[in-house]
Amino acid sequence: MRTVMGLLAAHPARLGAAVGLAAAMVLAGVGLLATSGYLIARAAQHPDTVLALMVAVTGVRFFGLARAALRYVERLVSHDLTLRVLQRLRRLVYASLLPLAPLGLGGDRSADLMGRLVEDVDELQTVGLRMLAPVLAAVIVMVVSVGLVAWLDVPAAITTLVLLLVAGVALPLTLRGLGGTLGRREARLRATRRIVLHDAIQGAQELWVFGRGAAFRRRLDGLDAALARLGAVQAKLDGARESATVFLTLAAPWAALVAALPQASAGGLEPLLLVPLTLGVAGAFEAVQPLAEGLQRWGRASRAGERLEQVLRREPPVADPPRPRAVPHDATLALRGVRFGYRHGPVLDGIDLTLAVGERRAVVGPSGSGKTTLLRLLARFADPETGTVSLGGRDVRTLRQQDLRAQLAVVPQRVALFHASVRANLRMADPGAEDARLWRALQDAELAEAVASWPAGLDTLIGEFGNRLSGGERQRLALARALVKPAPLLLLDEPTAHLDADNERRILDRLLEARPDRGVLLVTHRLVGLAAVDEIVVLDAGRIAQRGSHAELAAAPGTYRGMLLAQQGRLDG
Amino acid sequence: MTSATGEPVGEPVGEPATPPGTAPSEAPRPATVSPGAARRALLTRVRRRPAWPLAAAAALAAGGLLAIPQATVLARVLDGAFLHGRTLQTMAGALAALLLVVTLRALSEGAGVYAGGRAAGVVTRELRAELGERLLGREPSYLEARRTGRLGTEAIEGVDRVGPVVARFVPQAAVCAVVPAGIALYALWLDPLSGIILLVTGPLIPLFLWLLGSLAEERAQRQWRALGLLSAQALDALQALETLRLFGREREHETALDRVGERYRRATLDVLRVAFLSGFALELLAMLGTAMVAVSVGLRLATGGIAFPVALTTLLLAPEFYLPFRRLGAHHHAGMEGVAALRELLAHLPSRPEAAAAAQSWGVPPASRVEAAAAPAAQPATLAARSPRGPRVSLHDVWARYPGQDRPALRGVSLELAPGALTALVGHSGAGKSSVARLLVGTLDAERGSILADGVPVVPARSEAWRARLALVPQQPHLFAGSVLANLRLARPAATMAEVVAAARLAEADAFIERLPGGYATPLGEDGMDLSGGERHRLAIARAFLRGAELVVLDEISAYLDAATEAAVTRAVTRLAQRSTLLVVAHRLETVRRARHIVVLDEGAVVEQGDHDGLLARGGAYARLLGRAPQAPSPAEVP
Repeated sequence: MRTVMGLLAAHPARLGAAVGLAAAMVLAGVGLLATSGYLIARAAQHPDTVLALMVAVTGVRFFGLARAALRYVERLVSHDLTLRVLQRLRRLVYASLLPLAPLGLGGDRSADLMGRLVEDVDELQTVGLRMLAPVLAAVIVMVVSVGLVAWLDVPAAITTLVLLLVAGVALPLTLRGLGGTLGRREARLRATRRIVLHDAIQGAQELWVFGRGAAFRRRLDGLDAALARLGAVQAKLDGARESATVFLTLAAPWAALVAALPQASAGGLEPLLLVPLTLGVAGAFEAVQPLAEGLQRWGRASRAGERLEQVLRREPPVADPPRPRAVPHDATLALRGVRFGYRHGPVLDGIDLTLAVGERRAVVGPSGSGKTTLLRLLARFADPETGTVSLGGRDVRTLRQQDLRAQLAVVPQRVALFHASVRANLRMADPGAEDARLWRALQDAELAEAVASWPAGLDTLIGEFGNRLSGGERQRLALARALVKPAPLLLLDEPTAHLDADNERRILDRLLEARPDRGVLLVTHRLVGLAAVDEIVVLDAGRIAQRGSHAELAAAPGTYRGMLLAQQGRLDG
Repeated sequence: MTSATGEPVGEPVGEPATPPGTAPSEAPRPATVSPGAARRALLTRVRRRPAWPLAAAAALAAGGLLAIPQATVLARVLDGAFLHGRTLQTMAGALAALLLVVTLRALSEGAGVYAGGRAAGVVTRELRAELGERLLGREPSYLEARRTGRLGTEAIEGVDRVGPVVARFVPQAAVCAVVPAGIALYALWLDPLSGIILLVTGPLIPLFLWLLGSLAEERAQRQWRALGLLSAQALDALQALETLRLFGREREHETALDRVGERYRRATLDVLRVAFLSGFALELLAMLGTAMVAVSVGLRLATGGIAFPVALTTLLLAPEFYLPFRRLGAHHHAGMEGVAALRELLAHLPSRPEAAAAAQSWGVPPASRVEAAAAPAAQPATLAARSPRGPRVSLHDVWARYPGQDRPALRGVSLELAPGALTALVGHSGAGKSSVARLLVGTLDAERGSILADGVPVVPARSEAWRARLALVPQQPHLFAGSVLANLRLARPAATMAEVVAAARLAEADAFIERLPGGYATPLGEDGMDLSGGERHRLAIARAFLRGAELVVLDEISAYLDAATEAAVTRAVTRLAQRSTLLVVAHRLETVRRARHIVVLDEGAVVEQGDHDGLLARGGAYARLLGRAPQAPSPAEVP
């Protein structure tokens, strides 16, 4: 909540305008009712000349027009303010998720996270539009209108103030208590429903084959039923709120009249003024009407706010140093005595490894041996518990993350492509890259032929997560993207996992060609093309089991030789 | 979300003849429904369950009409106090009556809001249920073709936005037909001139609303699309944050998100500017009408042409006359948003006759219905037969293509799967391997040709009984939110713990499951543990055992396996082959070597079949695939 309030406060002029306009609009309504009451009452006294009524007539017209105009402008200003706040908030959420990825995001469902980004943020619009501005406007209206009534008659002012406070404070607070609990329960149910729906859609294939689609529909239906029950309770609250608000609004003129009547009878108050007084009082209640509904939504909004702030508060696993050092010319990456673990014990321990420009190295090992984690340490998505990662002899913790990553072209295991053209996906790596370079990279990734055959060529759109491409095509596109990046070190995490043997061999041969301007680190469990590699590091359960050339390792008994033998039984290796 | 083998749904390899529109971009959206049709559809739904909506309209109308006695009594009280010097005591009865009317009115209005809320609950619930049936009752290829983020947004938020239309807008529209007329008639009787002012200005309001409303309709639609895009983009970004950071593109993507957000803000403001304009016109008319009545009765009152209580009653009633319209205007924005959302929703929902057909066919494309109709006797037979080692499945000259694609994915495929044996499908990616797999699980439909199980024709896409006999092992099985146990029981919900453990053992999954922090109770899915590819794969194999499937379609995992895991998977697959007909989309030499039969596919057609030694000896496509051909053909030149 504090975050949202802070964002609102970042637009003081707009907030002030919204509040001022809202108050002025309600007061124009009060003015309209009071002047028209005065007009009628004065006319009933049959004044000698109609001119005596002209001030009131003008007042009626003025307040009528002003009210309509003020309302239009007020609504535009306050909605604009809300949308601006929402946008900032959205950006804030994205910016705080970013440094958490990929290692700090564990434990959250992406569907739920998306819910946070879109739904919660939208929910929070009630804070500005329906809570803060109306509260401030209501205070202004209360002070002004009660002051006006008090100027005419004090007892009437007291009853008006009391009823305004009941409608504006007591009622909303009561409903907030009820609505808050309800809102939290509803938010929980909605989050669950979102997850189930996500499963039902993402796992549609399994559900279809196992005939479990109906069961999932029943689950969704059960959640809907629970939400519908909450909705019925909510409807009851809404109805009660409406009744109470209408009653207070209509009873207030009655009470003011009853309070002022003795004064008028006793001659302390001009009886004529009873009419504008009674009519005007009802108008002031327009200011407190939105408060009850606004606060009733408090539960939902505060829950959304809590969840957002949970994300905002999370500590990123790594941060840039306050005074980053310049990137050294020598782009040699080195791990020294590195140890790293997640929650369940160490994943890597005692790792020493260097990669210099012009070198080709491979890290091999069975799945779960820590290969991917090692790459993530090199890209500094996390820092080792002990030991150091350095670039050109400088600890990567002294460098800007972006500067470090600019030296690395990485193909991560989980390929992420974007719903955009092939060209746009490739240019992520280098926005200025010309088509010729893109084609060269596609050629190196053995994808040029396929892309050329697509009707729109480089302009072909990739589906969500590239899911309209085959696994192999996706992977080759990711590879091409890394090759477009002008970085001296190429880090590949299982780059050929989805490829058939022909493609794999051709691609690896090309990637592992000795090149003086590029260092290549290949992380893989597939022992293909490794004869071309200068040094192979064999990981087993997070420790270095063996290191040496392919020839040496293949000859000696050990993990590597075991993997080699198992692999000979592969169609595509 | 990808197909069984990660093979493309509509992959663009080959023929440049594919029209540009069907490139691997977004699938064609179902045509949206016109606003008028959406409104009619909504009203049909409201009418189907009329109790709450009628109660809402009646209560709100009663509340509106109570303004008449309220104004009359209040005018009389003020008349007594102001012109006749009456005191509190002498007017106690009138004051009590006024309070009573006010209370009744408050209760009516509250009851109207409550009934409206209930009415909305009924309709949204029905819509959601229909939507669930439609989205999840369809063959999954329908879902794959669409952006998942957008689907979620539409299904959940879209329905939520329909609620206020039913709760507020529809009852209020009914009130607008009754209350102003009642008040105007009363005013006409009381003071004809004022009645005429109301009757003249009143109809202008709906006219204005309609004029401005139809203008804003398209804009509301645009705003809705912007929200969908925002949601999809958010999903893209979250799944890809690592990639964005690796390429140092986080700022650019943030800018892109900003752009979409800004577009959303602009679109929303556009809608609001017009929506509020109609509100402004309405307010202005109401204010001017009230002012005209006030000035008119005031001037006549001054010259003695009208009595004070009559004048005051008319003045008090003037705003009440406009109130229903103003309220309708206040709900109008929500109404437009709701109709916009409904238009998108209805595009997913079948019209009546189609719904009936869909319920029967589980949303299978029309081609299969024809075929199914031609072989009506086939279904009961497949139900009855339960072969001990699985059925003998044969495909005869099967042609198939993906919806919206011109090029067939399969061109006359004929092959046979022997019971209790492993048949391997091999070929380059895009050769049609996963299309054969999809054909068998029923997510792709044959256009031509037939599929026989033990000689009896089956249409997998149509027959739930057929699917009850089979299991699918995708390369990357989806992990559902829930425990390992729940994920396994997906294949057979009634399975006992012992049966689950036995299946896991057969699949060589038991050991790693026991090592998980919570064993079989470990939560999976994105909220819980993630599993490696090899582990997921073995979970899916365990499901096949647990199901006791007769036919298993297995998309062999092509990556991520260490020697020990690989050996474990091999043992599990061998066991699977002993008790069922097993079709493997193969990536491993070891697998094909053990296969009873190998089918080599290329460009959607069978180019070779036989066993490993025989095919290798021929030195054809299979040998080339293995890289054992005497001379591999040179790869085609890059353009």
